[in-house]
Amino acid sequence: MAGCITTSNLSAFFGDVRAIEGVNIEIPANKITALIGPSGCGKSTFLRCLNRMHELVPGARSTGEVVWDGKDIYAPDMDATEVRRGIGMVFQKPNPFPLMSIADNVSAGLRLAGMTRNKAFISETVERSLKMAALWDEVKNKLDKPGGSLSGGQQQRLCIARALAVEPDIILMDEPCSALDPASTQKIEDTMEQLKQKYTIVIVTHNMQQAGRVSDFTGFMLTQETGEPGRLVEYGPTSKIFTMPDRKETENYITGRFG
Amino acid sequence: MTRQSFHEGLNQLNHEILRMASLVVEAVDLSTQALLTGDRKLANSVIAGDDDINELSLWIEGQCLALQARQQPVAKDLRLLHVALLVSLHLERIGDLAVNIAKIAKRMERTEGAEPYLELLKKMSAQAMEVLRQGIKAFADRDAELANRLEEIDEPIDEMFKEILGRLLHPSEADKEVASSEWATHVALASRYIERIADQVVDMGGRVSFLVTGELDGKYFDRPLPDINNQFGE
Repeated sequence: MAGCITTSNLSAFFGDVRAIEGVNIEIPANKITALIGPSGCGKSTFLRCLNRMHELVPGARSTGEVVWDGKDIYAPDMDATEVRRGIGMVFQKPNPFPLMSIADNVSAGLRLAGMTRNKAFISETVERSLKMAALWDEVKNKLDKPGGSLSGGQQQRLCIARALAVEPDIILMDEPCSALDPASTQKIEDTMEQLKQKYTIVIVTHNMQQAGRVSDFTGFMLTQETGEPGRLVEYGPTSKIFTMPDRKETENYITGRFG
Repeated sequence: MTRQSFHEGLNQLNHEILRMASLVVEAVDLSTQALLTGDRKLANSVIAGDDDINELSLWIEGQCLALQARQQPVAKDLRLLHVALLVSLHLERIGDLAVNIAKIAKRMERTEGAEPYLELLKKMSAQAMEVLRQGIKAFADRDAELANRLEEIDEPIDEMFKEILGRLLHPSEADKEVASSEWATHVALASRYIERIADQVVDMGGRVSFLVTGELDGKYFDRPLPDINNQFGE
């Protein structure tokens, strides 16, 4: 099944500063994997290493391996744009193109990737993507309205639709609900549950209850001492992590005994 | 992000379970004493004391619900809330069984030839008290090993129960009169209640084991739904 990612001894740096160290993880296809941990533990940095977005920060680099369905995404012959098409990303703050129409927002990635075979293909893709992002019914009669006219929760689902339009295998979500109200959060969570039939989802969240609700697997990251890099402390089935974690640090964090 | 009021709530819950447990120990102790001595006053005090046990059980249930509703407990906190509810249910049942024994103590008249039976009931009671104390100790100390040993401590009780029933169902010549009396029914019931008390403690031990290890009956709790054939059909 397409859409699994394995990292081996993955470390990431900002200049001389090591942000994460030695992360080994196998993220299974068609599952939702959540990454939790205190602020600054390197969750987002780790996520951005999974589709080569980390290297876009000046001075940033990574070492170790990230293998996506058998391909090393950092191999010299690997095209970063191709990686980012296959491994899409949704960010904390909804970032649609505000003046561009809803339909054009969804198809923006297609046009950037040169996938503009014909009009019918584009409108089919727009509809399919919006349906998968559970936004179609709310916007089908106003596809020409600007993306910025939608509510925050709708804008986030628009961004999900935009990520889906280029037919990725994997969707990375960095705090996708932290700027949203509970009702919009619930819609996104329901959407994720639908999406995992077809895609692999990796979500970084500060909200442990959300990780407990939506994910199949949970990884806990932690910076042991100030100034040290973040490490993956524990990784396992979510029901196990939230009832009987193996590591004391995990238990202390999720039960609120530190953090 | 430490959650002080939540953890205080959990500590209080733990404290009240132990308080309930000590009331239940007392109830079982006094009810079996009343059974063996025929002390009606003692029996009445057990019956009256059950209200306190029931009140505590309701408080514990409410506290478990409130903390789950408001605090989204996970890991060992979640296991404690789950187990607290079940342990208090076991303790409440044991309290009820002590009341049943106390009621029998009030009705059971002394009779000729009762001595061997009373001797067995005395031994059963002492062993049941031992199981109960160890069961509560296992919970208090979060001792899974002790919790799993309760079944073993319970074994002699089952043996004595079988012996009493056997003697009443198949009495020797000398026992015939005793076995056919109303008194025999009281003895059979009393021994059954004592046996049930110990069984409740053994089941409680399974919960304590889960609290410590996260496993139900030796397996990770998140097990697949069993494929059960209808064994009772056809």
